[in-house]
Amino acid sequence: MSYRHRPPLLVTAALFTLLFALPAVRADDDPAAVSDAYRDRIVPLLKTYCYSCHSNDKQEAGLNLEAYPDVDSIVKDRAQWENIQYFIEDGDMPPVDVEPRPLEEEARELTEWIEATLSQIDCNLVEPGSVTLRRLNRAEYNFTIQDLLGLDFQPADDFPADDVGYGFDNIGDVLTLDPLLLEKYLAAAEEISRRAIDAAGPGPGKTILYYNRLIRDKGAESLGDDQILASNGELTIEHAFPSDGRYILKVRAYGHQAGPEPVRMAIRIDGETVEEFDVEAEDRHKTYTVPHAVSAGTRRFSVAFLNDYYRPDAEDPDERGDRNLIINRLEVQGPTDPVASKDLAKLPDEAGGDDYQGVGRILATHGEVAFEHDFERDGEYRVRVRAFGQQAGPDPVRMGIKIDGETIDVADVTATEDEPGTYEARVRVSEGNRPVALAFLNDYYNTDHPDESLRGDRNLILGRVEIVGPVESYYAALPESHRRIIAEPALSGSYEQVARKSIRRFANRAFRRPASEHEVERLMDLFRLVRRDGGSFEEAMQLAVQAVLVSPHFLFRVEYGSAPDPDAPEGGRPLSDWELASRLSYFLWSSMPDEALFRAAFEGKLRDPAELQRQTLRMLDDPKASRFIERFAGQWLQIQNLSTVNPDPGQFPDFDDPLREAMRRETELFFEAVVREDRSILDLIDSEETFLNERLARHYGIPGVAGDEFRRVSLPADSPRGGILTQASILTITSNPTRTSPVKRGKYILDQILGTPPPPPPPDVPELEEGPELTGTLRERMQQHSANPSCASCHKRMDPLGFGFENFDAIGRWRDQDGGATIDASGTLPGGDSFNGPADLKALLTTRSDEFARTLTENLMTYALGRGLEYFDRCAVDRILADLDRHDSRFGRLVVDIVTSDAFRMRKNEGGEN
Amino acid sequence: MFSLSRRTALKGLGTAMALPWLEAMAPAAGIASRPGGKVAPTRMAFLYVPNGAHMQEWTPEQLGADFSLPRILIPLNPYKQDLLVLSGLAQDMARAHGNGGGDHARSMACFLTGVHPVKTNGADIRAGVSVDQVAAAAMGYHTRLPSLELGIDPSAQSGNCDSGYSCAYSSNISWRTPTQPVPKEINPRLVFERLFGNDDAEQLSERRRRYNKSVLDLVSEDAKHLHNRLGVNDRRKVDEYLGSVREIERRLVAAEQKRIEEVERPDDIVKPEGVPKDNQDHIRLILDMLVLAFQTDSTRIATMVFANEGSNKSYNWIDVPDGHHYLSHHQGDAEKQDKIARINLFHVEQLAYFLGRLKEIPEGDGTLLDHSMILYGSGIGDGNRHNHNELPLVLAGGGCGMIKTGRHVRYDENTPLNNLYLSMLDRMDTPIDELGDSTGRLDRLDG
Repeated sequence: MSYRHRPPLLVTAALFTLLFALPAVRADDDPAAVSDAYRDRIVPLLKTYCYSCHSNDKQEAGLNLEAYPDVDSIVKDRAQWENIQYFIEDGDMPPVDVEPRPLEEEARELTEWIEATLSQIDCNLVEPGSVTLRRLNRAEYNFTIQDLLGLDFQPADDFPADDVGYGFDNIGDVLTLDPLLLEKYLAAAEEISRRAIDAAGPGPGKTILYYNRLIRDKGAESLGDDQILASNGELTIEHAFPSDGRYILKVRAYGHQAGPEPVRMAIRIDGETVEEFDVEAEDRHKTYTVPHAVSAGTRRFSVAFLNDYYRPDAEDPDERGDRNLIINRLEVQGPTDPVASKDLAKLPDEAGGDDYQGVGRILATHGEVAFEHDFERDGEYRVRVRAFGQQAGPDPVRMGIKIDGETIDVADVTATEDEPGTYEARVRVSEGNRPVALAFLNDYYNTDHPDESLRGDRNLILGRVEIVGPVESYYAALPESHRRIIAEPALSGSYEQVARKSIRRFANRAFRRPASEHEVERLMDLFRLVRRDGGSFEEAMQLAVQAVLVSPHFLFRVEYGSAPDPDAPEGGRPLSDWELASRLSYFLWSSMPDEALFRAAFEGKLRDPAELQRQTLRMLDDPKASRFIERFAGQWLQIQNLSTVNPDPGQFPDFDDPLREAMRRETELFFEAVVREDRSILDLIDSEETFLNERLARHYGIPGVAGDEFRRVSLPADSPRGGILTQASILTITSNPTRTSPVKRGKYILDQILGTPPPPPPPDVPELEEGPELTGTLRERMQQHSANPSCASCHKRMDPLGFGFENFDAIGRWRDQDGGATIDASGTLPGGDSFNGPADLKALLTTRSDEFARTLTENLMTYALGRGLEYFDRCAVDRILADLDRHDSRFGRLVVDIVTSDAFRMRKNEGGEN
Repeated sequence: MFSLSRRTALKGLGTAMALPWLEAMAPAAGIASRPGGKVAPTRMAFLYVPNGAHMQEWTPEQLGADFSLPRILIPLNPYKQDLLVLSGLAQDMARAHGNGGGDHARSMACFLTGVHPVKTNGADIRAGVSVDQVAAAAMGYHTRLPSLELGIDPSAQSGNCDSGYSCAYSSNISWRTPTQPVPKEINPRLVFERLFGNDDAEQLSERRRRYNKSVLDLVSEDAKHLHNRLGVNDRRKVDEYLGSVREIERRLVAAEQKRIEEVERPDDIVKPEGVPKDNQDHIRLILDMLVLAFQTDSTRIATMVFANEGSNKSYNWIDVPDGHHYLSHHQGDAEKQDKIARINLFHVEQLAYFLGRLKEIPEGDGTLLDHSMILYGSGIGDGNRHNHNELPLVLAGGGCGMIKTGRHVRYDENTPLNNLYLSMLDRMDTPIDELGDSTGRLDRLDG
C-alpha cells in the first residue's frame, strides 16, 4: 500500500535508502518552500536538461514543461508529473544519448522535489476518493445467498477465482465479469431458485424406518430380526419430527395369539396413546397405521403390549397358551396432508360423460363429470386431476375445475394419451359435503374443414382425481428459504397480489434498497410468462427470483454518482443510508445487511456517526464478524497462502494437512481474540498467549495440550513465541520448500508489518541468495552476496530482519542448529540497533509500533473501501492514527474510525457523461 | 485410482464419433480445403511452460530435416516428423524497456500479445489482445465455444506477483482485450461441463432457453439503465456485464437456430471428478479435455498453461524437491541445471502425450494432429539470464498441410515471435496486418 499512484516499486535503491530514514514526506511540509524551490532550483534544471525536447518550441511526447508556471499547475496535472518523476528515477530520461546529462544529485533533487510537491495535500478539502462499482466476489456471493435465503449452499465455489488488487480480492477495479462468469451466475441463479422454492407441492413426505438393530434393546427382547414383548410393556424409540404437521405412524407387527381375545397394541407418542389396535395377524407381519398431528421436536414413539396372557398349564387346552406381541418395524411418514383419491372410471353414468376403456371417463361434448366430496375441515385444498385430451382444432383441450358449481380454475390440457398430465387447482373450502365437477369447455368437431390440419374431434378424458387437504403440514414443513421468499400461501390473496408482494420484498432485500415499482412490475412480467405457460405459482416465482439473482443490482454493489450537475459543489456527496448499510455489512460480514441494519437505514439513522458506531460495534460482536477476521486477516497476513505451500516431504516429513490447518487456525483465533476482546492492535506483534491444539503444541514443544480442539494457552515465560511473527503459519509461508528464506521473511516484515516495501531487485540480477561458488552457512553465503553494492542497500534492510527469525525452521519449528552449525540469529538494523534472537528483534519492532499501526490501518482501509489508497487518503489515515492513539490502539476503535471517515461515508462527485 | 477413471473417460474415443464438421459441405472460414475434396477445420493451441528451459539440452545441433533431438526433446522422437523446432525467435516486449524487474510477469503477459504490459499491481492492468483471442473473435462463432483457456494453477492468487507486476500478468496468457485477461479453467470437471453441459445429457429445453432469454432481456435493460446513471469507471464495469450478457444471448440464439450443431456427448465418456492431486494426472486430464474439445469441434482455439510464470513448484515425483523458480536461477551450477532439464523433460513428456493423443485420432484422410498447429514454449529463454530472445519453441502438427514439419529452423536473432502468429492466423483463415510488435510474416514454415 502506498500513497503513490505507482506503488513504491519505482523508487530506486538509492532513493529507498533515503526514504527509509524519512519514511514519507509529510503533508505539512511548508508550501512556500516548495514554491520557492520551483522558481530557484527546479525550473533552471528543467531548462538545462529537458527543454531541448519539451518546451514551447518542441513537445516530444506532447510534453511542454514551460506550460507549468507555478506549483499549482503541477499539482493539477499530477499524473503527468508522476510519470516525469518515474522516468527520471528510472534513468530513462533524459535519454542516454542526449547531452548535457544531469548529475546524479541533480536528478535526485528533481525527483525528490516532485515527490514532495505532489505530496502536498490540503486536508481541509473533502476528498473521499472514488470506488469503482464492486461486483460481489466469490465469498461475498456465497455469504449473501446464505443470509438472503438461509440456504446452506456454496454455489460460488465453482466460479472462477477472483482477481486480486492491492492485496485483496474485493477491489472494484480488478473484479471483472466475463461471459464464463455470467454463465455461472445464470446457472447458479437457476439452481438457487430451485433449491429455495419448493415447487413440488404437498406430497407424501419422507418415510423413516426403524428396524433390526435400530429397535434392539428398546424395551423388548430380540426374536430373530424382530423384537418380542412377552409381557405388558413398551418398545420405545426416539424420533425427531422435523416440523409441525401430520405424520403417519406405522407399526409392522404380529401376535402370538392365545386366550379369548387377540393381541392388543397401542401406539403412543410421548406416553399418550394415539390409537389402540387388535393385532390379529399371527403368521405374518401386518402394518398398523395411524395419522397423528405432532409438533416439531424429538419425541418418544412407543409400541405397547396391553393384554398379556400366560397360562401354559391351563386345564382347558383352549385356554392354554402364551400371548405375545412381535414387532418387526416402526415407521414415521410425513409430514403429509390427507389425500382422498377418486377413480373416475368407477363412477356411475349419472356422474356425467361416458366410460373410456375402463380407465376413465370421456367428455365428447360440452359437459362435466361430477361427484361429492366430504371436506373434513375448513382450509386450503388442492384438486389434482389426471387427464389428457384428444386434441383437434386450433386450441388445446380446456378444462374447468368446479366446486359447489363455481369454477375455481381453468387448465389447458395439452397432454395426450401417450403421456397424460396432472392439472391442479387450489381452493379454500369450508367444511362439508360438496360437489366437485370437471367440465369440458371447448368442444370442437369438424370433419370437413378445407384445411386438413383443422379437421378433427376434440375430447377430454379424465382419469383419477386426488383431493389433498386441508393443506397444513406442507406449509409447516416448507424450507426456511421458501418462506423467506413467499411468506404466505398463494391463496391468501389473488396470485398476482401475493406474487407482487413476495417479489417486492425479495427484491428489496436482494438489491439492498427499496426496489422501484418499475422493477417489480418487470419481474411480475416474468411471473406471468410462466403462469401463461401453465406453470404453478411456485414455478413462476422461481423465474422471478432467478432474474433478481442475475440482475446487476444484485451482483454489483451499486452506488450512484450524482447526475452531472454544473452547480454541484466539488468534492464528495454523502452515500445514501442504503449504500452506507451495504458498505458496512460487506466490510464486516462480507454479506448483505441484516434486518436491524436495514431498519436503521430505513429510518435514516446511519448518517449519524453515533448510530454508525453503535451498528459497527454490534456487527463486530456478531458471529458473522468471523468472516471479516478470516478474510481480512487471511489476505493481509497472507495466511491464505498456506494452502499452496509445499515443504519438501523429504526434509519435513511431519508436515501434513492437519498441521497446515492448525497453523492457519492459530493465527485466525489469535487475530479473532484481538478483535472480539477489543484489545490493542499492538498485541498482534507481541503477546503472552496464543491458541493451540495438541498437534501444534507438539510442533512448538509446548507440553500439556491434549486433543484436537484449540484453546487459549499462556505461553511459558521462556517461550520464544508470542505474536504473529513467531507463529508457524507466517514462518512457513515465508520459507522455501527446502529451507528458510531470511530474504522472504525480512521482506514480509517490511511489506506487511512496517509498510515500507523494498523496491524490486534491479533488472537482470538473479535472486540474491543463489550464487555461484559461495561457501559456508546460509548467512555467510548471503553476506558475500550483499557485498554486491547494487543489492546491498536493500538487502541490508531485509536480511537482518529475516535472520532474526533463523531459529525457526522452514515450517516454524524451533532449532538451535542448521546443517551442523549453530544458528546465529543476531543482527544490526540500518539504524544501528542490534539484537540477538527473535525476542530482541520483536522488542525492537514494538518500538516501531507507529509504522505497524499505519500499515494495519492502510490495509484495513483498502479492504473496507475496496480501492487502493491515494495520496489524499493520508489525511484520513493521519487523523485515524491520532484518534487511535487516544484510545489505547483498540481494534474496535480503529474500525469505527474507518467507518466514520469521509472516505467511507462519501463518494466522489463524478457524474456520467450523458 | 484417478488415472484409471481418466483412462475410462477416454475409452473408445477416436473412432466412431460423429464429427459436426463432416456435415459441413461448403468450406467456411477457418476450414481448409485439402486434396481429395474433404475439409477439416484447422485447430490452434498454445501451450505455455514457465521459467524458460535449459537451452543447451533443448536446441538441436543440426538445422534442416536431418537433425537429432537433444535430451529434453527426446520424448518427442515418435513425432519428430510432425514438428518444427523453431530457434532464434524473441519476444522483445518482455524485456524491461525501462521498467526494471518483473521478467516473469512480463514474459507471460506478452507471450501471445507482443505488447509490453503496464507495470502495476493494481487496477490499471493493460497488455494487448492475444493471438488466440484475435482468432476467436474472428471465427469463434463457428463453434460452441469461441476458445478454451486452460491451466493447472489458478489465475491470479495475490496482488503483487512479480516486482510490482499484477498477478493478472503472471497467471494469464489469453487477453480478450488489453485490459481483460481471460481466466483459466483448471478443473477438468468444469471443462467437461462447458463442453457437454451441466446435467447428464440434459440439453437446455426450449422452455428453459426461452425463460433464460427473458431473464437476460430484463437484466440487460437494467444494466443499460444503470449505465446511464453511473460515473465513467463504473460504466466500464457495467459494460463488461453487458458484453457478457450479449455473448450469452448470442449463444442462446445460435443454439436455437441450430446454426451451431449441438455436440453430442459421447456415451462412453465419464465426467472427470475434479482436480487430480497428482500434477501429471492433472496436466494429462486437462490435455485430454482439450483433445476432446478439438475432436468434437467444440472449439478450434485453445491455450493451456502448465504452471504460472515464475512458478516455484517442486517436482518431488521426479526427484526434484527444490522450487522450479529457485532452480532456474542456477548461476551455472551443473546440478541445478540438471534439475531444470529434468523439469523441462517432464513437461515435454506431457507434450508428447498430448501429441500422441491427437495423432491417434483419425480425421478425414489424416489425423487430428495433421489438422492442428500446437505451439509449445516459454517466454523466457534461460531462466538464469531472464533473456527473451532464443526462446524454446516447438510447433507441432501439419496445420492442414500448410506447415512443412520434420525440421529444425533457425531465424535471425531477435525475429519477433509475433511474426509466427501472423503466419498462424493466415493459416486459420483469419489474417490480420499486424499484432503487437510484429514486423511481418514468418517465412520458411512451409519449406
